[in-house]
This record gives sequence, C-alpha cells and structure tokens, in this order.
Amino acid sequence: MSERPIVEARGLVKTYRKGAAVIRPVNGIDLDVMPGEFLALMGPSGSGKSTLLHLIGGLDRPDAGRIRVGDAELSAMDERALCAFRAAHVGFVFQVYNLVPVLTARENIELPLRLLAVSKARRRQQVDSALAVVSMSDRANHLPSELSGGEEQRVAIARALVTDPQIIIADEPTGDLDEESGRQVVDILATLSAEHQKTVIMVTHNPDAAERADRIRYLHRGRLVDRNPRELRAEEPAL
Amino acid sequence: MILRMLPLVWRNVWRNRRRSVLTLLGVGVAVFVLAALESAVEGMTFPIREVGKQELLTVREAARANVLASRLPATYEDRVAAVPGVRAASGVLSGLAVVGADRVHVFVRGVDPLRYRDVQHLVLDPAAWSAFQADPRAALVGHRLLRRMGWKVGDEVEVEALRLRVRIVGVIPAQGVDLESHMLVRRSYLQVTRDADGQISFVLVSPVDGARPTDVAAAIDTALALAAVPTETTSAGAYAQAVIDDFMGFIEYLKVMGAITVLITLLGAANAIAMSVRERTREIGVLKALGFRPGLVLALVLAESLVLAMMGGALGLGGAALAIGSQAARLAGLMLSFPTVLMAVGASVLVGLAGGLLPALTAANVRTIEALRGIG
Repeated sequence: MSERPIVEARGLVKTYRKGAAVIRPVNGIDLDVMPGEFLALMGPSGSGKSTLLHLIGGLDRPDAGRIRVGDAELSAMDERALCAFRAAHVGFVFQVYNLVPVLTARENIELPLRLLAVSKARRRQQVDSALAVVSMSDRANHLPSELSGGEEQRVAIARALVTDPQIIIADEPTGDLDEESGRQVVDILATLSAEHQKTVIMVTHNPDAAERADRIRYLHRGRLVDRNPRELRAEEPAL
Repeated sequence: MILRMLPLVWRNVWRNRRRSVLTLLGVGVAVFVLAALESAVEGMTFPIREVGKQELLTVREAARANVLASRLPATYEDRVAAVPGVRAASGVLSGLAVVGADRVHVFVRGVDPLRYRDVQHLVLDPAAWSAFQADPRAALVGHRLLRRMGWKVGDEVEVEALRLRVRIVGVIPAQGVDLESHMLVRRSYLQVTRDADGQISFVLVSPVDGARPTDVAAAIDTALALAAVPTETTSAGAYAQAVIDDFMGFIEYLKVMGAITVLITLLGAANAIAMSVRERTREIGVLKALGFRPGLVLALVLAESLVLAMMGGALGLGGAALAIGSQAARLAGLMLSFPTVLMAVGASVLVGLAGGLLPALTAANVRTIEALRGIG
C-alpha cells in the first residue's frame, strides 16, 4: 500500500432537520483509508454508517470538515462535479440490488460506460471482464427478474467495477441475501481488494462479513470508535 | 449524451405496456380529432380563400345580395366593359339545381365562352375547351361534381330543374378557382331554358393590371348609378371574407374543441408519465448515484414522454390521412393540408414535452440519497 490514504476525512459533520429536531448522524469524523484496503464499517442503526458512506461516495456534501478521495476534494465540489466524480471514480453496491429492471445484466453493467462515452467495442470488452470477475458471463443476457438475489447483487458489483473505479462503496450488500449468496458477494469484494487492488468500503451489520475485511471501524452516535459499540453500551452506567 | 441512452429510453417507454398503449392511443385519438377538425375547417375555407386571392369583381343587382337571385340586363356586360379600369367583363347567368337521389347541389353558370375565359383564368384541356365553344349544348363539369354524380365525359345529362339537357365535353380540374361543384354551360342556351332572354345574373370583371379593385368597383357603380337597375360591385376577396366571417363562429368552436382535446390528452399523458416516474424513484436515485446529472435525468424522462407522444401522434395522423384521404371524405370537402400535418406534429410534441415536463423536473430535482431511500 502507498503512503498516502486514498480517502482522507477530517472533522466531517453532517446535520439533518427532521421537523423541529436536529439530527447529526456524522459528528466530527476523521478517517483515513489506504489504497486497496477493504474496510468494514459497523454500528447500530442510526449510528451514521450510511451517511458517512454517502459523504465518501460524493452522494452528499458535509456541513463541516473536509473530505478528499484520490485527488478530488469532495467538500469543494458542486453537484455537477460530484456527478462526474461518481461516474469516473466510484462504484456503488446497494443493499437492494437496484438494477434497472428493463435492461439485461449486460446492459445494466454497460450503463456507466455509456455515461462515460466509452466506444462500443471497449464497452463490450469491459463488460465481459466485469462479468467474468463476478462469474456471471453465462447470465449476461438475462433480465434482473430472471436472476436470483445473489446473482442480481453480483451483477450490481460488476456494474460497480466496470469503470475501473478507485473505490467501491457497498452499503449492506449482503443485507437482503441468504447466507450462501452473502458469503459469495463478500468473497468477490474481498477478491477485488486483494487481487485487483480496489479500495472497498462496506457497511454491514453482519459480523461474519466484516471479519473478511482488512479492518473494521465502528460508529457510535456519529463518531468513529475503536471498540464494538455493544461493549461500549455495556460499560455505560445504567440510568 | 441522450442519444447514447436511447436504448434505456425505449425500454422505459414499454416498461408498463398497458399504460403506454393507453397513453399512446389517447394521444393518437386526440391528434386524429385535431387533424380531422382542422381538415374540415381547411376544406371549408380553402375554396373561398382561393377565390379571395383572385382580383376579380362581381357586379350584381344592388337590391339582391345573392347573385343567384340577382338580375341584370345582358347589355350591362358591354357597359361595364367600357368603364375605365376594366380590362375585361363577362356576363354570367346563374342557376342552382338539386339533382339525384343524394340531392346534390349543382351550381350552373351560363357563360359566353370567349368573354368568360378572358376574365376567368381556367386551366383546361384545349380539346375540351374547343368542344365547349363548338357545341351550344356542351357543358364543362367541376371534377368533384363529376365524381359525385358518377358522370363521365361524353355523357348526356339532364338537369331537370333548369330544363337543361347537356353533353359533358370536359372536366374542370382542381385549381385556384372554386368551380369544383359547378357546371359551365353556354349562356344563350341557359337563357332559353330559364326564360331569361337578354338577362344575366352578374358581371364578372377583371380590372386592368395595377388598378385598385376598390376604385374600379366604385367607378362601375357610379357609371351605372342612374341605369334602370342599380348595381353593387364587390371584390372576390370581400365576398370570400364575408363568407368566412359567417363561418367564423363555427370555426372558432371547432378550434376550441380541438384545443380542449389536446389539453385533456396532455393531462392524461402527464399523469401516466408522473406515475411511471413515481414508481421508479429508487431507480432514478441509482442512476444519479452512477453519475447521471440532473439534466440528463430530465432529458431521459422528457425523451420517454416525447417518444410516446410522437408515436401516438404518428398513429393519429396516419389514421387521419387514411380517413381524410378516402373518396367519401374528399367529396365531403375534408382536406388534410401540410399546415394541418405540421400542426398535428406540433400538438404531439407539445403533449410530449408539456406532459413530461413536471415529472421530469421532479425526477431531476429529487435528492439522490432520498431517491435511493425511495422518497420522492
């Protein structure tokens, strides 16, 4: 791994208003992620995992602090620049597979390449490679409705990596899968990190999935902590 | 960029087949109705407008506004021809008869061939014109009247109400003169059958080049002011405008109906597209997460709406062309003109763009993370 982190976040704060209430799901987070690292983010619901992931992926902007991914200073970017950044540098995998239902597996994977104006021949080549990585070459021409949940998620991973992004962001990628399919999906993410030097940041509730990562960080009340929040809660004095 | 996304647009159009087909049919019916209404208006006003383009004047009896009822001495033909500013004048004796089981109206004009052609420019087969000049009982028949009555050149036909028995020697084809439902006969013959010896209905006048028709009309009426039968001279344009003005209320009504049809379709299309967008809020969030800019999302939804509306429009316009192109519709006077086609295409584009605009703006402006949660 190189010396310079690929993700560098300092003093990140994100605030939402829900009626009269002010919610701060991310409250002063500092985080470094090294290139090729597989990082798992864990924590209870509402601890700010997904919000942190959205900030790293350029889906949202922080209210305070700064975040750099590669050479891109995301906190200084406008919406248009963030769109271009996401298209070129980030691959997303969501909990619900979120494939476009009217497009085949191949066409879904091809979509980000169309956005980047990649030539037809090169699109075909890259899609074939991505399909091979997730072992879905034989299901390329099937619609999402013809695939199992695990297969859909593998197609979603292929779509995330087809543009050869610097970083893959996976938000609870095994949340809707059975144990075996979930294991296969995490295997693929681990392989992408170990063999293809992709930086993978995964939010998960599944300790077995998290165990496959190089590093686990926990979130508790909008802050990164070193220990499992369950242990922290157990140590908190009872009211 | 949008061109690269056309496969996605096309698949989205057919995502919910039943809804798309119903929307498409809705637009198709609206465009059909619009084209049919406009064709009726066009067919109704076209011949009159064409007549209005001619700079001819009509001299009739001042006391009778209807040229069919007007009576002037045949000598007026020469008196009018002598008025300064008049290039040529031709006295016409008119008659109207209702013939056949279908009660077809036949407008008959009794004319002096040479003088009439000097005034009224007619595109005719030279052989037909020669036959008309040669035979006192010859008739030239407008193409629409000929088809409607099932007559042929060479037929001997009878117009009982006017006691005419004539031989058809030629057809007056479609041209910039409203003679489609007319029959031209020799004036001398019609004067005999109508007991109108020495009489005409009106004088058709062609002013000299450069003369203002209104000035020539005033000069004619002044010259005949003290004659036995005072005259009123009007231009063909004024006549055409008066007829169109009479129709205008009805025409406006038809246009309002057409606009309401388009509006209803627009609301229906907007609702269908809005439903389609609402159903895939999360998917729009995914597209934005992949890097689709708001402008591209807007263009995708608008393109989808436009493709649906244009297909509906093509269907409606095709149906209208078939229906209006039929012989029955042509005989009834319907006319699908190029401006009508353009208007129908424009209406389809309007329905597509306006109907898709609000859903497209909603899709473009929804926050990515809210869309990913399915809120929007």
